[in-house]
This record gives sequence, structure tokens and C-alpha cells, in this order.
Amino acid sequence: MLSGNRKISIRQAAFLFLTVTFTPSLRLIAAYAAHKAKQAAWLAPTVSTAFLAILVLIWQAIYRKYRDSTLMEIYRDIAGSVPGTVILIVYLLWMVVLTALYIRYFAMRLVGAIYPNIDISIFLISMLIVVAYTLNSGLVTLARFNEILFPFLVLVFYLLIIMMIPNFRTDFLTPVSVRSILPVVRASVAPTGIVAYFSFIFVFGDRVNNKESIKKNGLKLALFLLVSQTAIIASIICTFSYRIAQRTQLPFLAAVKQISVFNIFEKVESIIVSIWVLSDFMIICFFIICVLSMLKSFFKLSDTKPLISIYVVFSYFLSMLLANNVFEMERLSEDIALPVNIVLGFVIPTIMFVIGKIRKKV
Amino acid sequence: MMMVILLVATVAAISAFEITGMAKRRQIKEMVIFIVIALFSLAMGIYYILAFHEKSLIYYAFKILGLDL
Repeated sequence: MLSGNRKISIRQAAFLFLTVTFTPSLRLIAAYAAHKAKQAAWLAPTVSTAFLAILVLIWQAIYRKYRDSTLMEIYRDIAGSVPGTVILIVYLLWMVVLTALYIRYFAMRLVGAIYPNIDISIFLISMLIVVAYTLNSGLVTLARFNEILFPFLVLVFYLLIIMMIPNFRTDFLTPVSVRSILPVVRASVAPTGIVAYFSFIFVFGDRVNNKESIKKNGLKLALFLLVSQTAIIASIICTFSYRIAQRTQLPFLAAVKQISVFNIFEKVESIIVSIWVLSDFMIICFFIICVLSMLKSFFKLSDTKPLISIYVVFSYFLSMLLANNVFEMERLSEDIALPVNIVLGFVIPTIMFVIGKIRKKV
Repeated sequence: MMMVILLVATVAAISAFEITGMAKRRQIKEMVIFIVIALFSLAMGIYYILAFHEKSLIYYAFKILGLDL
């Protein structure tokens, strides 16, 4: 469903969102949920899916009135110019941090997983050159590329899950009782913090077509995320138990390393690393597009293409100064990034919706 | 020192290429934003290359928020 030369369809935007959530889900949610909810961790995505479904309905309601507006225009109109701009500055700063964080995660993961003792700058510079080159072609090209990439990611991911099944011990997923409810809600902070990126799609909402289908596409993607995130957590816990899962760095990679099909098909971790790289590429591009769209809105720029290359250089040095090790980045993700994502992705859109209803703007 | 020269050369090359295009299209606001980002990039790059930074930005963020790292 291609929609004009300069716009993408809501389906393409949903695919972009799903690819963007792929890497953080694999990296973060299993260990976090296992730590908070132990063997019941696999239920955590049910809570986040409920929140996502509500968020989808909120955005659908907002876009009934603001048909061709960006998130920035909507917030300024609902909250007023000054409060709206203050909120949007927080969004901008946070997206700058997220861009640098994901750039750094990409390189650290490669070094940690398969290329130890190699300077991360080599990976960073290679990736950022490709990102800058691709972004010059624009959002539409990226979304079309993602339409090819996303089914490939899904296929590989579920093939890996199927190949993991012989190692599964389903007794690791139980017992689950009523007393698991609170831990599951606490564990759901991780998947909820990731699916909160759904709101960020609307930073370039003016370039997304057929927004009357947000509800239809959004509920489908919520269901898909429920299945996928549950599969991620369950596969890791079934392979290792929650005790090991909560202490393992890159637990999905560790689970994939256990795959052995008839002792013939082994060492498939290179596959997961390759799909990680592709997903990281998309997430870095996504956040750079968000940052540039916000700059365009703030300063009423006619074009942001000339800013791409210099912003990429800026992001490189920010990512290098951001953290000294993986431990710091994980602490940032768990203690700051997840709550901030929830506030910016869920809480503020909900508040805007309520204010919009009160002021009869939605 | 070699790294600083390389950084300045990279930023200068990107700036020359992009600013020429923006000047032709009379994109004044874009040029200002570009120059601001370029100056930030240079400052951060020179700090990263020359200064001894055993503490990261995350360390300072946690310290400001009163969290233990």
C-alpha cells in the first residue's frame, strides 16, 4: 500500500515501529521481566499490550480531528504554544539521547557478541555512513526498504524460536498464581517502555497517510507484539530458567547459541547478529528522522536533508561520550529510559487527549 | 593531534559541501542550525579526543538525579 511519493501509509509506519521495537525487545525485556516476575515473566507483554491498545485508540481519536498534523502541531494546539513547546523540547532532547544510545548499543553489542577487542569506532563509522546515505533518500525509501526487511526479520526470528523448541523446558514457566499479578505488572515496565515508541511515529505524522486506519493497523500490531514479546521471554525462560535469564547479558543470543538441529545445524548466532544489525540500522534511522522532523517543526525549516550528515557526526561523538561501558548503558535503559519512554509515549499523549477533550479540540 | 586535524577536516568538508548548497537555495535558517550543530560536534569531538574523560555523561546524569550507578 504505497501512498504518494512523499508520504508513507499507516501500514508502512506500523512496520517501521515493529522493526524499531525488535532489537530493544530482544536485548532488554527478558532479563528485566525475569528479574521482576521470575517464572511469570512471560505474562508481562499482556499488560503492555493492553496499554498499547489504549494508546492506539487515543491516537485514532486525536487524528480524527488533526488529519495532517504532526505530534508537535497537535501538542501546541491542545496545550497552548508555550507549554506545548516546553514539552516538545523534552521530546527533542530525549530523542537525541535515544539516537546516541542506540548507536552505541549497536557497536557494543557487536563487540560483546562476536568481535571482542575490536575498536567500536569501526562499526560506528561504517553504520553511520550507511545511515547518512540512506536518510538522504528520505522516509519513503526507508519505509519501502523496511517492507522488505520486516518479513525477513519475522521469518528468521520465528525460525530461531522453532529451532529452540527441543531445548525448552516448559516447567520453567510455572508455577503462576494470583500472587504473580503484581510482579507481572512490575515486569511489564520493560515491554511497555518499548511499545511506547508507537507515539513517536506521529512526530512525522504529516507524512503518514490513511490515518483513519490507525485503530485497525494498531490493534493488529499490538496483537503481533503480544505474540512476539511473549515468545522472546518464554523462549529464554524455557531454555535457561528465570534465574539464569535475569543475570545473562544478551539472553536471547545465549539461547540461540544453544540451538543444535540433529548436531548438524549449529552456531546460528551469526544469523541473530545479522538481523540485529539490520534492526539497529532501522532504529538509528528512525530516531534521526524524528529529531530532524522536530527541528524542522521548531525552526520552520523548509528542508532538513542538509542537516543529516552533520547530525550524524554529532551523534557519533555524543554516543562516544555517553557511556564508558555496557553496565552504564543498561542502568540508563532500565532506570531512566524505560520510565521516560512511558511518560513521553503513554502519559503525555493520554494527558493531551484528556486536555483536548476538555477543551473540545479532540 | 592527528585525530583533531582529521575531525576538523571532516566537519569542514561536510560544512563546505552542505553550506554551499544551502546558500544557493537561500536557506538561512537551515544554515544557522547547521552551524550550531557543527560547532557542538567540533566541541564534543575535540573534548572526546583531547580530554581525559574517565566519567561518562551517564555518570553525570545519575549524579544529578541522585541515583547510584
